[in-house]
Amino acid sequence: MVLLIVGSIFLISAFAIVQTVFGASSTVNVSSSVTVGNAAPTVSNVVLNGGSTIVLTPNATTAITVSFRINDPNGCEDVIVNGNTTSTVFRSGVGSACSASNLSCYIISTTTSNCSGNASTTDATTTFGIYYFADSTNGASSSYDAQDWVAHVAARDATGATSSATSTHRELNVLTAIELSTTSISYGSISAGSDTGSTNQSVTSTNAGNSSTTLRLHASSTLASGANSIATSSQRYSTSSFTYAGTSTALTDTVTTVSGFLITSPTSTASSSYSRATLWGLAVPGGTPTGTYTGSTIFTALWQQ
Amino acid sequence: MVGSFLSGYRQIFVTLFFTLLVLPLVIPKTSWAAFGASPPFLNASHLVKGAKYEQIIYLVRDNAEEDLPIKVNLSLPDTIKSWITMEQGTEFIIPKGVRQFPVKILIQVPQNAGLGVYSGSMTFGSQPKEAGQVTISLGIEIPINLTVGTDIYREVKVGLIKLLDIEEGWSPRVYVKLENGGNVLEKFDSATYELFDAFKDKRYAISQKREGFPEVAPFSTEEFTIDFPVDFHLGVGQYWGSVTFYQGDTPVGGQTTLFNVLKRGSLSNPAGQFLSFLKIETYGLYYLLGLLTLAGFGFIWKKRSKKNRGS
Repeated sequence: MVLLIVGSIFLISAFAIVQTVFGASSTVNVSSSVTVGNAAPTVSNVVLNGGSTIVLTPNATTAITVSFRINDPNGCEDVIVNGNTTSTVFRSGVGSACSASNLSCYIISTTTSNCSGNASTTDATTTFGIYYFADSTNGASSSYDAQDWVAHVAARDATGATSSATSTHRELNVLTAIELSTTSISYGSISAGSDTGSTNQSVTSTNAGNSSTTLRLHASSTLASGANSIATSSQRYSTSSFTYAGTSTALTDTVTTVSGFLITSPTSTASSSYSRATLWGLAVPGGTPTGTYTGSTIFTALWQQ
Repeated sequence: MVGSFLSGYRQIFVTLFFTLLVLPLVIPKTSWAAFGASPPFLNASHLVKGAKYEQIIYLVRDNAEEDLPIKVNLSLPDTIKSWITMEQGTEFIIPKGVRQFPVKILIQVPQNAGLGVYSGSMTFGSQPKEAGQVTISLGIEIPINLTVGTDIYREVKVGLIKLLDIEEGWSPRVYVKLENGGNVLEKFDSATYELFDAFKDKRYAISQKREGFPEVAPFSTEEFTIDFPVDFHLGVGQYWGSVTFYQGDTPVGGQTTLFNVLKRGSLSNPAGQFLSFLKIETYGLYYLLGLLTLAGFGFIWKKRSKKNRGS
């Protein structure tokens, strides 16, 4: 019995060895072919402005970045070089299919990335220049308080396969700012006991933000020459031309709102449409000693809903 | 005659040269750089007794060629004057080159504050170099409106979720920015993390987390990184991750993205690498200890066998 079992094991082992040795040594030519199909790209990790609230710069554009990751199993160059990406930054109310507008929709089809060689994934960035008058979305001042700004990135590969993704929503802050046409008011030479009459000096204020603004004025230092001074109220202003003193308002040492002065929020860079002038005159009281008098006035912007 | 003509010509030339040289220094700039603030208001409507509120107001300008001194004038009711402080103080300089200057305003409502609405303003006035007879400077007024009440107000926003690249053997990591605009502590209650292969075809693991989320104080923002341990060894390569954060049963933020697992030492510092090494090699250590234990048992068994045979 034992002999039978040992014999069986021997035979099976011998068969296995023969199978292995001869099977392995026989050569069969197998021709292989494969067609690599196209795989659609994917977009992910879309981040608008580093995840922070957007703060604009007055009278200028502000660089805002959108970063994202593109993956294409056929290689990132399938999108970056042979295909394309389109990045859109927009106010949520207008949707990602919006038409380009400096107020609410910015579209850019160029991007910088680290795509190289056969890598399937690349991180990319698109930089937008957002105008100072773009629609704000935070605070009760905005018409779009319930909305936010969003980035949307669409990628297309060489065969036209597409994919897209959006960022988390971010607020775009209200910006109140003004720009003035001059750094100083010079009344020239005026004799004691006289005034500027119908000659007015003009200072133009231009809205450089994305909200309406009023103007508040006060003298931070009265006109003085050494120990001598001219009363602050001797300087007068108006939003229309006047013959001193006429209908003008006296300047004060405390902050005062200029009556009827409102500059609405710009919708373009055509600054003249969003500018208003204040006109200035001066009286020099009799008995004022001769000299060069200097002072300082502050033009303060105040946000208006 | 010719010599005197040349001499006069030279005088005119020299005079003109110096005039042109000095002219830019004596003529004041014709226009003021734009100046303002963003946001141009401070509205804190959901304060409660003892609340701390922080807001950043950016003073902004388009021309940053020079330092710009700023003086702040506060116009506030006596009751709330002591509540408001500014990190920069009431006189500071916006440095040359800076177009957006953050001013941090802190409001501390005392425990004995009366309920009500408090209003005032702060004015930031610039102080440029003297120019002409009346120098004009620009300012921006910030209206302040504070409401102290007793209501519970909740406002949570997830500003950013990023699935971070990690090293081989690490747990998946997620970077989160949580913004709490309400007047009570906020945190995530739970989160789920799903790990997929590079083609998002096959799910390797799912991780659920119900604790360990940091609390974010009222009216503040916190950024933190959360690890999601998975029962799967992440080798070098690319993976898809999908994370969702919840408050109660409500999803409040999520992200699905491809991330990289890099070889060890690519991201961590030497100390981190050492810790990472220990973490990975723990399994090897257990294996070695197991072998030694087995060898010990074998040795004892062999010795006892000999002893038994001897006796």
